[in-house]
Amino acid sequence: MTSPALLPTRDRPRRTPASRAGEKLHPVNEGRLAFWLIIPSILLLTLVIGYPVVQGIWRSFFADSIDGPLEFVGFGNYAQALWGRYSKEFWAAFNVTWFFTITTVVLETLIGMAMALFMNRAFRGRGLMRASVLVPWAIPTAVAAVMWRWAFDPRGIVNHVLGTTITWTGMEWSSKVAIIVADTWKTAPFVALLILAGLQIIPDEVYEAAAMDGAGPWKRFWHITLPMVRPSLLVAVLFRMLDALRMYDLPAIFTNGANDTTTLSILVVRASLGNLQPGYGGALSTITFAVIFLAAFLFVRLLGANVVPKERS
Amino acid sequence: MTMTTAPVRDSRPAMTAHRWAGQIQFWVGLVLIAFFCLAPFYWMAVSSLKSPETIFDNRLLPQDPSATNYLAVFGADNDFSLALRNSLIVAGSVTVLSLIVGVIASYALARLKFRLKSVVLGLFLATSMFPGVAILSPMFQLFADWGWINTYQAMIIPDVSFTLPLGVWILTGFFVAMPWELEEAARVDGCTAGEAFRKVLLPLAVPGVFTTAILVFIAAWNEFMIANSMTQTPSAQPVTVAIAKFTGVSQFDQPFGTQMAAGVVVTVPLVIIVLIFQRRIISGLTSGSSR
Amino acid sequence: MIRLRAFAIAAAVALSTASLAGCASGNSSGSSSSAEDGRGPITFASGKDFTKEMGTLLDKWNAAHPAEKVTLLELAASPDDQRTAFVQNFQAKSSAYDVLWSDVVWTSEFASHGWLEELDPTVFASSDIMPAAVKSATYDGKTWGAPFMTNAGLLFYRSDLVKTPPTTWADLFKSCEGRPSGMDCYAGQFAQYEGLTVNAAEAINDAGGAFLAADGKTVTVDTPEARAGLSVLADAFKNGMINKEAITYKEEESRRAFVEGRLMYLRNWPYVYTSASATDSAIKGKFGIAPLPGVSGPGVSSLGGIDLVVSKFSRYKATAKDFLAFMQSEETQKFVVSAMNQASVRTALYDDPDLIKVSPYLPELKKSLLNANPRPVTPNYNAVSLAIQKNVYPALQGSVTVDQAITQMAADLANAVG
Repeated sequence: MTSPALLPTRDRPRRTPASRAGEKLHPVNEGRLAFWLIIPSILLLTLVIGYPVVQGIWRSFFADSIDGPLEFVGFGNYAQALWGRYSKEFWAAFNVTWFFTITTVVLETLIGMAMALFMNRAFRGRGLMRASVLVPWAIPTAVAAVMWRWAFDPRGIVNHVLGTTITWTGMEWSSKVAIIVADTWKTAPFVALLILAGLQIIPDEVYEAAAMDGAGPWKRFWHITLPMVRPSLLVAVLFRMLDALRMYDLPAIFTNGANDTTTLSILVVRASLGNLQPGYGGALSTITFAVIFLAAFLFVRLLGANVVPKERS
Repeated sequence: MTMTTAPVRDSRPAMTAHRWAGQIQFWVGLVLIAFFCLAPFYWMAVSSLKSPETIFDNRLLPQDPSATNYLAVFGADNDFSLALRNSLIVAGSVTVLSLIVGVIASYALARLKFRLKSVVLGLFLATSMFPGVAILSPMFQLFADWGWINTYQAMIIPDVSFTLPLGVWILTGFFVAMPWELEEAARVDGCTAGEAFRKVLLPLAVPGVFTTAILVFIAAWNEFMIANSMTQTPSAQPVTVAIAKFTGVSQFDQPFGTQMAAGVVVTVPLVIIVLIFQRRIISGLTSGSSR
Repeated sequence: MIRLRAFAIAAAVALSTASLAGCASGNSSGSSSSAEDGRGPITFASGKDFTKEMGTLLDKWNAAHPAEKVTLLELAASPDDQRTAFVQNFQAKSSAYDVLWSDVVWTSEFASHGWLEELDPTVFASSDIMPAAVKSATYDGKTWGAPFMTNAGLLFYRSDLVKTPPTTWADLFKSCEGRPSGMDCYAGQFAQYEGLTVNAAEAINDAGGAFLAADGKTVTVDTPEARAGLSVLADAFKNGMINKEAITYKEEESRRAFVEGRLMYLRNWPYVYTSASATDSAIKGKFGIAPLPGVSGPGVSSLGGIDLVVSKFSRYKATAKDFLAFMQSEETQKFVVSAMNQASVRTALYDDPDLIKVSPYLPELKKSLLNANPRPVTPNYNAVSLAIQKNVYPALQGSVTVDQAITQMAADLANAVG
């Protein structure tokens, strides 16, 4: 029997108010304290993200023009993206972005989980191993992207090692493979680290008990490890998904969006910074946000990333 | 602990063989992981040691290792040491600030009772959903008005906001998993809520805190878009911007060697920091609590 | 409930403070409370100085003008990043940059947004300056930039394999037939980036096609001539005259292919000359330079180069304009050729024997420049260029036919300009 302290919150024995000795906080004060603890974060986020976003959304309701007064067009910019003159490239980008997201997130989760499980074991040189695993994540994205782009050059190291002459960034399937490989390499450590942190909470006794009961490694993983690491795993996957849906650097550097690798973020950057269309760019940005929001919402609902604790009664 | 006793399985030679197989599998797995993570970095390091003439020859070992690229990185016209200093200041400040703001918010979300918790968590998550470029221009304009262009705070404040949501979600998860009993025991012993937090809870949350710290530091260290917009002179530019300014001998030249060398130079301190702190990422309830 | 309200109030306060700060002093950083005569120290924002000689030039100016010193501000190496930095400063109406290093295709875009200071054509667009360069700095009949450096495409060829350089595409491909095995015939820059627009413009313009009419708004690419021009490149890819690997080429990849002896003909900017004639070059002494080939005679090169522009939000415009004049002066332009190894905008300097000794490609370059075409001069250049790239690329890959590519390009161009 594991101690009550180690059970997930919802399975712990209920405590009645009388049993909470030395309770110093009044429920109303708790709320006020919570307010003051959270308000710095809220203010910061409101300033840095809220203000630009609100400005961007407001601007997206006006037409783009070189100069002259702003013309209100309501949802005109949104219509252009969804079914208007830019809809073809929008929906192509939508599909490609989802393709990249699903493939990279799945691969990174599997590889990250494997890495975390290995790093969790005690062995000599474990520290060095953990530091090595972080290397891909630590390299600046620009440098890593340049290195991979060059590795996938027709005369680069990948073709050299594989003995092929594939023009990786010159064809559709190979560009996508190249981008997925580079992204997975770079980001699997991030997932691994988060899962590893979650694995730490599982005490060894639980594994030992299961081993004594005759459970093999796969059973142990499936019935003990996975459920207990679930919260960390879901947070990792959720944030990875958010990042993947906003993928920009790799496709931009590898192919500049050619070969059907133009993601939603590339469209947003092209509109905002390239074509200087704050209205259309703002609309694209907001649509991208809506897509991501919906995805996260469904994810949390369906998989129950249950971080918010039930109230103690 | 389990009450049942396992059947005695005393076929010792078979157990050893089984264990050997398991050990070999384990080490093979480790080698694969190490290869996966380090092979491209090895390629990067090898390329950085090649001189400009041999850099495209795809040899896995440099024939005549030369420090040309490293000298170029730290050469007079690149201000790289200055950039390293800037990166350190910015990333360090972001980590400290993000942790402070994040830890108190996570504590509130995990331990205190108030309504709208899901809304707050959802808000944190929502701020991670916008493409970065949407933030860029309005932020630039705002900071330009405040005279903050080319200052550290113009990078620190946005970076903290970008790293805060993930940090809060990780830390909240950690605090939620902490047992109530320890905190309450501390309070019984006469600690205030704050002391209970500092002396009991925080040490137990060390794996989560250090994990968040490492991720935040690396994210801030590698941030490019905001840094590139907000800084204009080498006195404030971090390494990511300095690397983007590398040129070769012509306007079309891609200075691979110098970029790879810079990549190595920039990654090694991060790895060292992780090595120093990696023990803190691991440790669990078993090591901190007293039973 | 109280908590919720307090929450909301705090958030609202934060939001409104931020927006007030944004609205109120929208112009404070850019207000033209300049010195009366508009003279003072200025900032010159440019890409990284790869020539390493810009400092010498600026020192000369600074010595002569101690109260109006120029400070060089080096931005990121990638032109896209430079442009983003410029645009952000313009949009914020910041006076941080006085003189900017503007690629020729950006000048009309910046001018159309009202971000540039108008210049005196008699000073900066005189007949001494290459006409094509002047055209690129002109928008809406006015002069907005001082051409500083220019560039045109050249045909580099293996003089040990080809006695006389071809002037037509047909001759070029014919002469490739006897080439050594392992050597490719021709390459330009065909990855999906600005270089592709340059190459595509050259092919299409030479065949008599044009992307936009002179007004910069009417789409004129849907013609048989444009199709003929694009077909030259697309067919060359199809029948192997251009190696399919070239679809990933930018300037450097193509240069390397030529300098390492893997290419018979290369279309590139003059800078290739330096590395091709370096001591350790595999083709030292074995290459020549000629104007680009065309459908029926010499081809039309796209114009590259840099204009120096003055920001409308600069506080020291008089100094800035004088600095521009200095940069365009004959002495400085000679320095640009001899020390910086770049192409001057002054027509007369191309016949200067001393300079030709330093850069032997000058006569050929002059021929190309006099025949060069600026890329479409339009405020929406970015969108136009992307429309061109996005359609030429698949045509070269072979995934769409030339006919489909041009038709789609016309539609995309219409979206881009209007």
